[in-house]
Amino acid sequence: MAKIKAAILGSGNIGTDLMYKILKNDGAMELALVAGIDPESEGLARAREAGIEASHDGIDAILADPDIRIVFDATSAKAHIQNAEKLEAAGKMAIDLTPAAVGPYLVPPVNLDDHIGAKNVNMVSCAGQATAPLVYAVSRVVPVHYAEMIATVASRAIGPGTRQNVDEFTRTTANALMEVGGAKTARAIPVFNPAEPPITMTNTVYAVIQEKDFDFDEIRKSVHEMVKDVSEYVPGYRLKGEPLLDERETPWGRLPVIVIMNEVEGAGDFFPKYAGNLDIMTASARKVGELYASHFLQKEEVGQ
Amino acid sequence: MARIATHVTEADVSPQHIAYAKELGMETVGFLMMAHMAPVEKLVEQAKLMESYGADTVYVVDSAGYLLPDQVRERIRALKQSVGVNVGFHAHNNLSLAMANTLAAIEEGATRIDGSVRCLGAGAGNTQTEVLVAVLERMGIETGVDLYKMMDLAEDIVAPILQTPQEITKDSLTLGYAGVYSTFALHTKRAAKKFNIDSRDILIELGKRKVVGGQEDMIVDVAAEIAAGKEKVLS
Repeated sequence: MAKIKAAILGSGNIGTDLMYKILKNDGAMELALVAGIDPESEGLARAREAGIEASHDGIDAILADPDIRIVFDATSAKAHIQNAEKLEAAGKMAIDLTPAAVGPYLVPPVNLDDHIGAKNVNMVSCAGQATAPLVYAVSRVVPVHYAEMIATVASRAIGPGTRQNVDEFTRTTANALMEVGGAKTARAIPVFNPAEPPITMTNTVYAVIQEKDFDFDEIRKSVHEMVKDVSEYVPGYRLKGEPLLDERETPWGRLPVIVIMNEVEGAGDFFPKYAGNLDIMTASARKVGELYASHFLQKEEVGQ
Repeated sequence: MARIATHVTEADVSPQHIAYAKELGMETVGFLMMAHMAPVEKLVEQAKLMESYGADTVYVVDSAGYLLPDQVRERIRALKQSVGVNVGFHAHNNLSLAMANTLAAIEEGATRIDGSVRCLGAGAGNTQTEVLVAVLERMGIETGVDLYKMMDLAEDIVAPILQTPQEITKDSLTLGYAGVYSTFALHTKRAAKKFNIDSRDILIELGKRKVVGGQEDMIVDVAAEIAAGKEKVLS
């Protein structure tokens, strides 16, 4: 079967974990190249070890190969803004794992179909990938007036980039709860916990409902279905318990609040298992790449 | 004044906010919460980071009311030796040590002290401001605060708005004993009622799990687990 050639740009931790995930899952993509800028980087050495072509010429190495159709950008927001233009000019699809958000937010089980023609999609943030599907699972049953999510992550699994830009991380995640999750208003609260041994990523979603009549069982069913969909590509994604229906004092009066508690354990491909926050980013990006690659193949078959 | 608060080990998330507060021309405080959860050397390292971002003051914050006077002493002393900016202390009275800890901090050179009038603060509240004014006066430390007026404020204005008189309840005491963030008390009480379990069991478990400020969502999680465990035993 013909495959779509893909490349990873950025040979840091994210790029390396993503590489292992692509190699582990046989599908419509063929990983043709890992490109970084540091000839000494561990990521490039690991790529070569795995039999994948590696280059320290960065984006130029990718642009030099016309057969590469999908590019995962695991560099930085600043770099991606420049890379995005070059990739688009070269007709390559960009899957952006940085906070740059040049293209629309993409959360695979929610809005892939809306952006199937996009040339650049953004993977939001780890907390967004984990919680936007849960908010959407509620909002497809009953309107969500306000969604709040608390993502608690092991301190060790938060890199310097996120630490220096924690406000951007928070805003991006809250935006995704609205744009992708469908909440009318939203707030995101990240918590970094330094406990040893490191804790697994846990997320709590509160969804405030203004409607008087709604079927909580329907919501519960919808949440379970969504968790199943996400866990197909993030195996360690699960509920910590049954969703709860509570009633709380809110700025809009005493209202029903749906509480969903979720946990994300990593697959341990390159990152330690507690780093579910990093794992869900690379696992989701791989899934998105796979879906676009299948889509490209299908289109070509139809075209022939 | 702007206070930029982080967990005691996470100061490196604060440079954006400290810089912004300074840009607005505000006196800027780096507030290291849950100070009991890190060794002294770590606290010093984190305070230095906040100083390097531009904070005018760094605080040792005993958010759980867990520290004993000697632990306060060694923390303030270490900071005084290693940072050039003001050092402050924020106590909670969960173990009835807010005043003792505050005095220890002052003796070691803390020059910024937090209090709350009539102990109106989370858990068992903070060092009681009007009492502190009286104590400092007895110690010969000039505060510039009118003691009678402060007492009147506490008795006539603040006391009537307290839903219950501020006491060291078993929940507050458990916060201090287990080392749990003081604002967790009210949420825990609610969860204990909803799941029909002892709030102290929730707090002790939260302490064991080393939860930090902001993790209030864990309360319901832990409560549900304890309740489920109880059901299993019963059935």
